[in-house]
Amino acid sequence: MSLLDLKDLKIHFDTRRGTVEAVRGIDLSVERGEILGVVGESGAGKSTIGNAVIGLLEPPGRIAGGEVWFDGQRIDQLSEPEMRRIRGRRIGMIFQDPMTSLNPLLTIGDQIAETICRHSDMSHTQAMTRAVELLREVGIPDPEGRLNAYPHQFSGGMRQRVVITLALCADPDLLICDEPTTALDVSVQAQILSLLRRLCRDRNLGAIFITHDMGVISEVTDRVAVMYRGRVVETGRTGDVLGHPGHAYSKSLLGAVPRADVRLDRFPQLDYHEAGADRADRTVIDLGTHWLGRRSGAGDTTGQALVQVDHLTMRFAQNRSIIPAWRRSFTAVRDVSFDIRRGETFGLVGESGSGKSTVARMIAGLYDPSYGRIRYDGTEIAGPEARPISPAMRQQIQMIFQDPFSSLNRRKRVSDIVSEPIRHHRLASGQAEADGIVADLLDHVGLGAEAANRYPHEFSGGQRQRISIARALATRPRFLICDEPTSALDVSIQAQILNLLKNLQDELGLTLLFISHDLPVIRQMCDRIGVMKAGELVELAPAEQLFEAPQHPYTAELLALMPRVLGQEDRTRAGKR
Amino acid sequence: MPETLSKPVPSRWHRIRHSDLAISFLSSPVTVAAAVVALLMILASVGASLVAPHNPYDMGSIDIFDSMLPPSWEEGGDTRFLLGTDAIGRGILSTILYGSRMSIFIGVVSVALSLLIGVTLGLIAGYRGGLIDAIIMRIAEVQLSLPTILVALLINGILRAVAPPSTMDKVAILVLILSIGLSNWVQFARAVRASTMVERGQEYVLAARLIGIGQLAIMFRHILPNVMGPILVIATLNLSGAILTEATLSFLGVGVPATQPSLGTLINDGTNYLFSGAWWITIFPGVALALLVLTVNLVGDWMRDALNPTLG
Repeated sequence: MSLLDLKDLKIHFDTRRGTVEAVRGIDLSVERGEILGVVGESGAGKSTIGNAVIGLLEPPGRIAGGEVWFDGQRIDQLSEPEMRRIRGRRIGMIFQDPMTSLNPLLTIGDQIAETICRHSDMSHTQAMTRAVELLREVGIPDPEGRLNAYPHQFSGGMRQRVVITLALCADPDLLICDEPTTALDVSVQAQILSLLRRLCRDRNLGAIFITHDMGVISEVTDRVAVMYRGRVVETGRTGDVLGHPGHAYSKSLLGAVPRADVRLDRFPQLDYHEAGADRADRTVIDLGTHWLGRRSGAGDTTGQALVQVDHLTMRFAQNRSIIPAWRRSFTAVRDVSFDIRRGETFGLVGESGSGKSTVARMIAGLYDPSYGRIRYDGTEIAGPEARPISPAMRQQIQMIFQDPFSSLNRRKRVSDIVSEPIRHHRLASGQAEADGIVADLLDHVGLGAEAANRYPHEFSGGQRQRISIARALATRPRFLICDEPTSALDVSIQAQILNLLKNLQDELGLTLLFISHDLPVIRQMCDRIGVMKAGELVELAPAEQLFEAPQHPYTAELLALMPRVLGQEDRTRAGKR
Repeated sequence: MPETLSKPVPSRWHRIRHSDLAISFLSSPVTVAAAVVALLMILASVGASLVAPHNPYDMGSIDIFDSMLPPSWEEGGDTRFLLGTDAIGRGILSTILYGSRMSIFIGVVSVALSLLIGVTLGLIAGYRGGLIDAIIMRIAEVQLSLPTILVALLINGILRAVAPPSTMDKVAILVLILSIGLSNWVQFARAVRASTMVERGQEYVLAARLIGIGQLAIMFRHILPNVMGPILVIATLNLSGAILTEATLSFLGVGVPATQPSLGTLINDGTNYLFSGAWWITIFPGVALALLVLTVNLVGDWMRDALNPTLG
């Protein structure tokens, strides 16, 4: 008898547009001391399973069939009071966002002590002593002193440790971790993963680890179940599944994960999908005749860098005051200089808060730098001698944003969104030509001309990102800034979007500034890479050199902490555990 | 690519009929009933000259011998006058229809005025921020500290002193619209400012800036359609408030002149006869006013729940 057994579990959501089968009959089991990974793309039903096991399935979701057995007891039909005795006490849960999992108005000590008292007959004083022990166990320094601290006084990683402490309070037998490190930076993620791994081993805990990240799966789990559209397509030991995937979906999913070790020309695309989806064959653009090839504005001046960034500094006012001594500001970017050469892809990589997006927005002209200057094609576009940017210059620099849901105006049709730059800059002679260009652009980013009459909400995240790309191309830009263009997307969609960007760059001779926190993606995309830390550029090197022989200790640390996927490289990580 | 668009593009009617808003509307019987009643009242009063059995302002058709008739089902009632007649022989039903036309007209125009002022100032304050925001919002706070009725009395008093008495009747309606419109714009400005500050940071606005689109075009073409939800809610809720304010002012005698009565003047007229037993002269216009305000409010409340649950 395993600790947790799911037998032919089916979960349905009844909506007024019909029943959605989120989970279509899965069998899974977790043993004590074992970490089971559940991996899949968004919509695969992996979080739904976690919620169903601890009885937190929100209506209209319901268990439509199958059984859930926990430690010899069937729990899927328990009443709410009976379930409450198991949830929290015997099954702990860790969610994605450590900020919303904690009550911001209570101290850490009170929250932990309350949870301990609820699940045992300890007094408050005893519970506080226990809280200190637990906080020490999860690696929070000076636990006595931090009992009276509030959640906002902790960093993201420390907060997630507190959440883990809360889950451990009642000494559970099973932990359900739903994307526990997705909101965290890579360096913090590594610490949390090794903490969870150690806790499961020391306490002989069973754990379900739900994530979309193959690297995390590879780092932390013993066995893995690959989910696709509500079904488990493959399950087995992590090393076997990742090393020799048996199912076509697992193969293509693994193939789409960007590799950190070698640079490939194009991403292998996820070509496993259910019947009914067909692939559009792309036509290659001939710049000599195509609309996108017609240059407008400034001509090419070869021989110098396209973008020159010179001692750039950005300060944000935190506290405006008429009294200078009371003013406070925060330096987001400090003295950053680099050049971007024509036709190359320049990467900026760093953890959250490192200032990489701020640099991108200054180059795009969305922020005015506090000091320093930016030259584009020899003309100063920001700095002491900058003049207002001309429309011709404005056209040449375009940007693709991170969030596919907020980057398109939800009240406008796709045709209006994509044709707006064309109309604004009068790039077409009439409505008919503009419509033709829009259809051609949509076709070229792989959407098809019929997308033009729809509204953004009818599209998925990856499709919306294609619309964003079409809009950016509609001004015939020469320089494209991509600010985390794929971080909100599934790995298979990410591969498609990145390949599309590479194709467009080859055909149109675009120069790219590519920003990401994801080192493998950066390696696949970029020719030269700048590493940013706390607003400063700490290292700048060609991609191969940076990954093979990092010069700055911070770069080396980032590379070492990067989760790697078993089977993608020859050396295994088994020896490291 | 695995994501394809196999579904046909839905037609406009299909989109409206199957929108969340339409389904939420149809699944709330109280709202549907309120909307039907409000719509009927508005249509009947707009088409008063076609619907009403008499024209109460056509002196030729009024007979003083018909005065003070009770409703037709009461003893001594006349079938020509369903709801009875007033002191000079006008049918109450007809005066209500003509009176609510005036009330609704003043309500709609004054709400439109406050919407125009409030949305424009709110967009500018929210989008530009900084000093401009501070100035606009301080003006709004000053405005809020002055009650509507006080503003109306003030404007009315000034105009009475300035304008020649012969033009007073024409000016009176303008005074009402101005005073109600000017005192209600703050709510619009605040809601629009708050939504605009959120939308300003959205990436579609940044994308529009990168294309090179000007500030005004971004405010009105990109941001405005995205903040329309709360505006519609406030406009509907304010409409009933405006009708009520108009009635209050007319009741107090500073509103519409007696020659073009509104619901407020009718109620005011009737109170003189309330204790002489002719209750119908004041009660029926009162019921009409209450019904109109109630149904418009119910529709507004539903709209608030459906469009913007966070709005007060």
